[in-house]
Amino acid sequence: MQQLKALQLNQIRKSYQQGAEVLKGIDVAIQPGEFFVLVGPSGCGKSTLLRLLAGLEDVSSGEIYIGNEFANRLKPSERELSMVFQNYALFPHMTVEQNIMFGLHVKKIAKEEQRKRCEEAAEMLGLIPYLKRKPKELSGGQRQRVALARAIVSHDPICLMDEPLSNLDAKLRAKMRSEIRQLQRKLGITMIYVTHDQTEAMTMADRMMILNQGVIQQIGKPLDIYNHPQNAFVASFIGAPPMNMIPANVADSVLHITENWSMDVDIDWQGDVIAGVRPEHIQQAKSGTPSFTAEVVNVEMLGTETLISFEIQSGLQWTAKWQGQHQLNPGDIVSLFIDQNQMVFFDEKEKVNIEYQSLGAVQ
Amino acid sequence: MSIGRKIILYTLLTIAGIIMFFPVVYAFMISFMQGGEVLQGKLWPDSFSFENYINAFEKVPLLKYLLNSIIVSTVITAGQLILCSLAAFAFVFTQFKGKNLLFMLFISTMMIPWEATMVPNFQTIQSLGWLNSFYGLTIPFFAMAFGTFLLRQQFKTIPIELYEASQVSGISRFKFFLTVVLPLSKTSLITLGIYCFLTAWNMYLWPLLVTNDEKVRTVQIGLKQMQTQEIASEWGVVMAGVMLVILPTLLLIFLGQKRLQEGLTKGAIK
Ligand SMILES: Nc1ncnc2c1ncn2[C@@H]1O[C@H](COP(=O)(O)OP(=O)(O)OP(=O)(O)O)[C@@H](O)[C@H]1O
Ligand SMILES: [Mg+2]
Repeated sequence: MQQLKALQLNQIRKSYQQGAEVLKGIDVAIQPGEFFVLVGPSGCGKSTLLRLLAGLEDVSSGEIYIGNEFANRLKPSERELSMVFQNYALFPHMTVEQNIMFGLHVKKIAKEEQRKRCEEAAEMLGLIPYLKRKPKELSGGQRQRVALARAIVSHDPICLMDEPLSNLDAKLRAKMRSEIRQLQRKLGITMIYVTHDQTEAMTMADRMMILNQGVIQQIGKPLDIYNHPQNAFVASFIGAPPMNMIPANVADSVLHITENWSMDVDIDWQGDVIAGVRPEHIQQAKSGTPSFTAEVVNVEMLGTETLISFEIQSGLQWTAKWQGQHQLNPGDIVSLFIDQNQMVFFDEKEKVNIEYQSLGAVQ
Repeated sequence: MSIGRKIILYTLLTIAGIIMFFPVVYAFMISFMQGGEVLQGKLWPDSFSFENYINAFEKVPLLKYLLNSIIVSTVITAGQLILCSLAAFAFVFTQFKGKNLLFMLFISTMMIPWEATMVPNFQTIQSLGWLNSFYGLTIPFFAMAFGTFLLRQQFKTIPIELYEASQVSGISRFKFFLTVVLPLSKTSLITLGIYCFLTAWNMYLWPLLVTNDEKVRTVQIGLKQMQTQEIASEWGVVMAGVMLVILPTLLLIFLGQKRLQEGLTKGAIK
């Protein structure tokens, strides 16, 4: 239906008039037709990056290429992209239909065709019964769909979305996640999707980029990032509950975690490290396996799994995630086991995964 | 609310209402009285006849003045709404160096009373050859800091994302102004419009200065003229004139109030 478009950012920097640099040299190439998710904590510069792409702000330095065209100086409307805003930005005085078609006449599209596209989009998103209503007569999810429909009808090859699901309740959010994903595949849009919710990023992305304080932390496929986080920030940001970490020491292939717990490890490292392990990799020890014991502090039963919090050091709690239901109470002593292959190590100073250090720089 | 409090409240309100409205009612009564009756201090005319009204039309060209006033007030209102909304739009939706400073400067003109600028304004109008013309009566009132300020406050409540969404879809600034900003600010525009119209209608000093014949003279001057001619003996005729003059403003307030309330409640249940 339309040709796919790539996006390329070279050394993008941005600072606002007053104050520090918000984006500090962003380099990324986004493939045509890709669902690319930008994720990071609040204030890290996600919206700023998206607004630079849309042309609503000017870059301080660096280059943006859309398709193969140098786009730094293109006006928003010349960039052939659509955008969905966090608060949807629907026009309150127009009907749903007018909202969806708003902007089409500028593109010199015949009335007939406008109507057809509007019908199509409304049909796809289940908005047909609401076409004559005003936005304030719609529920949050319906408004969100109108905003989506407005982006779709433009038939632009690139779509930018800024936290479009953050105003919805958990159930609707899950539903809209899969709807947006399906729609993107069906239409073959290159999607750049901003969120601060790591679950959203993990479930929707083809590839994702983790941003912290204006610096790229890691770019990659969700599972690669989950399994091989580049640094401690990524490791704790991606995954819920977050990865457990503790400062430890390696001496002659023995990892000393606490005073009374050490284990053999197979890594080429001497000295201080930060050891990390995901909650699901802390298992219940079977008899005969090397293990350590801890006192349970809190138990959360979720039905299919149980989250057990325990104190590993005074003032430092870890969480284990066990499949199934386990009857435990605070104060119980549990015996735990960790496979050394499931552990991740970060160097003490830079907090970079040592796996990447031995491989040389990544990305 | 207890019955007792209600009674007290309504009594107070009624008294206040009577005090506020007495001059208007009294003027209305006088407009039906003969000269002698007024001096006797009567509150109720002996008979209701429209003689004074007919006289009023004969003494001065009241109809002509009314028409002039309507033209002047309408043109000032329209001019102010157009210029103020455009200026307010620029102050809210465009970025340029020194925007805040310029706005402060703009607003500070509100501190200078209109009377203080009367002389230079008069000289300007005179040198343009606009004395005794609708130009001279209307154009000096087009750009008003107050209207710009009022509309700027309203425009600032429009989410900036609406503007950005329009930019992304390629809607021009002016089109955004016409199709989004103005419709969303209907209530403020009506309020400002009514305010402008009433102010312009009641204008006295300026029209007195820049007009000297009945061609473009407005109704407030007409009233004054009538009063001087009658030398206080025919108060009935003067009051008949007054009644005719306040009629359009009352009408405007009654009609406008309904629209205003409509607009206000509409915005309230968002
Ligand atoms: N117009 C502006 N002027 C000055 N500073 C700004 C402006 N917009 C954003 N910033 C700053 O830039 C930084 C990044 O903001 P940005 O909106 O991109 O964050 P974000 O990652 O989208 O956060 P969130 O998840 O909360 O939306 C913040 O520290 C913010 O204070
Ligand atoms: Mg944001």
